[in-house]
Amino acid sequence: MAKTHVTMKVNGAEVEGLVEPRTLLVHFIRENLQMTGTHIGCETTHCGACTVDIDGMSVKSCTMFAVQADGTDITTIEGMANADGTLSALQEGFRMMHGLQCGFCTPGMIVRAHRLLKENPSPSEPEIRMGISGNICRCTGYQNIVKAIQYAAAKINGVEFQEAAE
Amino acid sequence: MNDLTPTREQRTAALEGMGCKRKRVEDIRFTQGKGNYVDDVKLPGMLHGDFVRSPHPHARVKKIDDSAALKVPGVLAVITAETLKTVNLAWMPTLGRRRADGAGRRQGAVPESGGRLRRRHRPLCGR
Repeated sequence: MAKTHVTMKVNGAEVEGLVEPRTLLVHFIRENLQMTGTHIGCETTHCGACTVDIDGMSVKSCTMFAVQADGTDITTIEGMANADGTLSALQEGFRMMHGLQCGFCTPGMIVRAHRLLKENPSPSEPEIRMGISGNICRCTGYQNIVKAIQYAAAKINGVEFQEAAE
Repeated sequence: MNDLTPTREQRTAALEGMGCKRKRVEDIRFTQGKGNYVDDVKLPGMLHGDFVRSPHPHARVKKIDDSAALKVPGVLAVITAETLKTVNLAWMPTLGRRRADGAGRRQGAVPESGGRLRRRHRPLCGR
């Protein structure tokens, strides 16, 4: 099958590749770029494990062809840490608040939460729950994911994190 | 063990009682997309397999036609209960022989190189 040449920016680096038109973006990222942090949970847009950030929008990369992402600027979970390699506020929040167990949904959760906090730097709990409603987690029951995002929001805003009483 | 392992004294000092938070070592990897899940593993010469399951909840298997599947470039073999007989593994109840006794019963396995082929060609194994 004829292949198409695509170029895009992934985590700040220019990348290119030859892909079949039917290649999904997530397969391009995982197989061509060998970046396996972006996960495939359902391949049907339900679970959000494959969420990446494209030109300032959260996108489920199993729902986009690689050719559609030609020329875009993409950030994946591999590009979420601070420039000096330390954990970002969100990554730290997920660790401190126990926002993960098996960790399979975590890359999608963190990439989505990253965009959520850009859209709304101080989200309320319902806003967080609505904001990550496209991402499914089967371990945590979401309680600690919400706390992790609240932790990160507080840290980014420079205020003290107050954990809500249970 | 690595240097992150706390000493006995450090552990005792950090005790906070029941329900206290524990920082997990693996979370540092998992939050950065550095976990190594099964689909992330790549070994030299690795093949991918896919199971063809019965579309019927209860039916008799008359034959399994693998000719179309075998014509697809990259497909190395179609393994059925018949194949298992040739290697004295027919006793294994892994692949359905005569009856399909549950929707989704495994009827055949298709190993091939390049994982993306597998879903696309699954319907080619007629029966």
